Amino acid sequence: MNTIVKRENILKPVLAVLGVVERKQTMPILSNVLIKINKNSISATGTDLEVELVAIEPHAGAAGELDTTVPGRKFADILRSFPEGQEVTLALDGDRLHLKAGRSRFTLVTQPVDDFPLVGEPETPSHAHVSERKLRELIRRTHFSMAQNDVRYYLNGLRIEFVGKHMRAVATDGHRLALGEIEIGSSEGIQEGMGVIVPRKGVLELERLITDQDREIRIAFGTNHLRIDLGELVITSKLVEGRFPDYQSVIPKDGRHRLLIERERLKLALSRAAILANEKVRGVRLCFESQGLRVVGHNTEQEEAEDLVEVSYGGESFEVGFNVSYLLDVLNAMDDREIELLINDPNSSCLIDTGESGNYRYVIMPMRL
Amino acid sequence: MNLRKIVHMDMDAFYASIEQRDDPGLRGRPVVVAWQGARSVVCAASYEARRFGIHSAMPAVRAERLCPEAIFVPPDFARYRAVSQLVRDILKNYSNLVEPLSLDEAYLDVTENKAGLLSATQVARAIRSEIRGGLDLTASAGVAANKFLAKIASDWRKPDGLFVIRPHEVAAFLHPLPVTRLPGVGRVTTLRLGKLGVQTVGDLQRFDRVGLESQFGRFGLRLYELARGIDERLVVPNRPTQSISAEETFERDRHLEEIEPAIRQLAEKVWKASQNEKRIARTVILKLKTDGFRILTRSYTRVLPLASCEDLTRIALSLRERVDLDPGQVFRLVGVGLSNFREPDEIVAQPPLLE
Repeated sequence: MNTIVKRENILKPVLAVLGVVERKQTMPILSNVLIKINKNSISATGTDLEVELVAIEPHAGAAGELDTTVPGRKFADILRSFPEGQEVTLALDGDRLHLKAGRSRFTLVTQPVDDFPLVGEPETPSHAHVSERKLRELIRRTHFSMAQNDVRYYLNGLRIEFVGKHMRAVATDGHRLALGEIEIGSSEGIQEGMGVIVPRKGVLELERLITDQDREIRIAFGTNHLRIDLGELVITSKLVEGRFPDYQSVIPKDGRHRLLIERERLKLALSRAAILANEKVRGVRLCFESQGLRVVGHNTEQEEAEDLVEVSYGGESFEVGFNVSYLLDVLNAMDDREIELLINDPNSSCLIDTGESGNYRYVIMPMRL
Repeated sequence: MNLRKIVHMDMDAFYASIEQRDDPGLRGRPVVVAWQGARSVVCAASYEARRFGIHSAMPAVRAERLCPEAIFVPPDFARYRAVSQLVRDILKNYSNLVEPLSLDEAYLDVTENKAGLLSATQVARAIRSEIRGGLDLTASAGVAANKFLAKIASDWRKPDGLFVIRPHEVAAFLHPLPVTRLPGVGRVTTLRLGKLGVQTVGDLQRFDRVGLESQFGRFGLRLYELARGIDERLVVPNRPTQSISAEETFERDRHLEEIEPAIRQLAEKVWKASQNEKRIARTVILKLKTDGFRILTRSYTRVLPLASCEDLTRIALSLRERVDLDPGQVFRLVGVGLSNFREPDEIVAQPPLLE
């Protein structure tokens, strides 16, 4: 039986899920995309067993039905090679999929739909609604502090938890920490303090796929999965088992020195000092003095960079070393004009935020330089 | 680089010879140094035993089959180490540039020798006679202009021999040599070279540098140089420790989850050994050997140096998660190692926020 679809209507969902379809796979079916076509919609599903993506093209107006799995990248490359608006005819013949468009013909090897590993519906009904734009911001402003390939596997992900009417995200690699909160709308089955850890891979996919549209989206929590429903795209990520460390104890509550600094100005000074900071260690010194904040970078060749940032500081002079990349990551994630730096001493963690009312807080451990 | 004079000293069947020296009853008889046990391997074999095809690293069971009358002696490393130190003391009389490779092997740079002898060959001769006279053991020596050639030379007249490769003889000497004699050329490279029609070093000399580099990457350059007898590696005395490790062969093969106690014990042993080293390790290595003798290693490098034995144990245990073999896979050996040592002041520490 033939199925006739328009190139765009099928290419769009296939491209949306291709990110998790891996090139080389130990399980061959994971390089395939599950295609479902009926008169209402066209959907494509891709998975790497950690993240599952289902992209749905509604009202695609396809003639005929189809239910199969095809090699994802080849299928996408073939569709992409056709001109825009091209009608494509698909026909399943045993384990082969014949594809015709104009004078071109392709035959692809399919694999049984039943072999395709699907997550299925989350077992529990807990869910919350949040603004898609806010969620995107929450992920963008915290995810960079996640660990990568750490043996403390629970750090290789983003902690999501519920506190009051807020959803909180926490990321830490053990040297620095990022914390953010957004409000939640209507919810069901969400309890105070409930939390999960989304693995790094899932977080990066979310960061890539969530848009900044101002609309409510639904996040559902299962025992083993988290599912975000964007309507045209359903993202399901496995969760990391394990206990997230008690991060509250490392966030300084108060500090000896509280400084207000213009964010862009500090960022520029740090980027300059970073040029001559040791390539491996990436350390810079922040020297707080009566004339302002002096940012100093130097390397093993004894080259030195120095920049002065105006801040009102009246206390005794002191200096603190930092990994400049950690500071720049934070400053790049923020978008406020002024930020607040809370420092106790060169051996204690330092807090960067926008004051009490801010929704984002960052903690960095100084370096011994 | 000016012409250097390098000597490679290699003790003959070192452990077995010490046993034969210290027990007259063993002299002239096939002696195999190995632990008792179904899984043990041969540490050393006397030349009498080698005639039966026994060699080191062979399963002891097999050695027994090859030569039932062989005498098996358990190794006594404390004694071997002591003798090795005496050998080193002798070597140090001739040069300050002595680089031990193991208990029974060392390189010496004798471009200038302390004994005031006229040639490197005379130095090698003097060392050999001092070892024989003073320690009642024999050593073979190789003399050449670099480490690579000196090492091949010491093997050439083994046992109890001396061989010199003079600069003008290098090309003729290397030409008929099979490529397997080149350091770093193992089974895989031999196969790949074979496909290119290369069997001997002479065959290899036909390839230019670019060709070899495109085939073998950085090792291609090394092959190019070795084929021409070029080896610029210096003799480095007191080479700092590259790695510290310990391993255990099980009495019976074990599953991955069964080896936790062994990993804990090995980690403790390695950690203890590492306390003598003032530098600090950053990389932890887990080594496994399957029942099919396949060796796999998994390593993890931390930004911060390891702080404690628990640290090492935790990482070594968790490296098991990166072993992606069938869950039913069994292993005959496990090893734990530390490497990537750094000077303490090289590590500008980023202290942790949370541990």
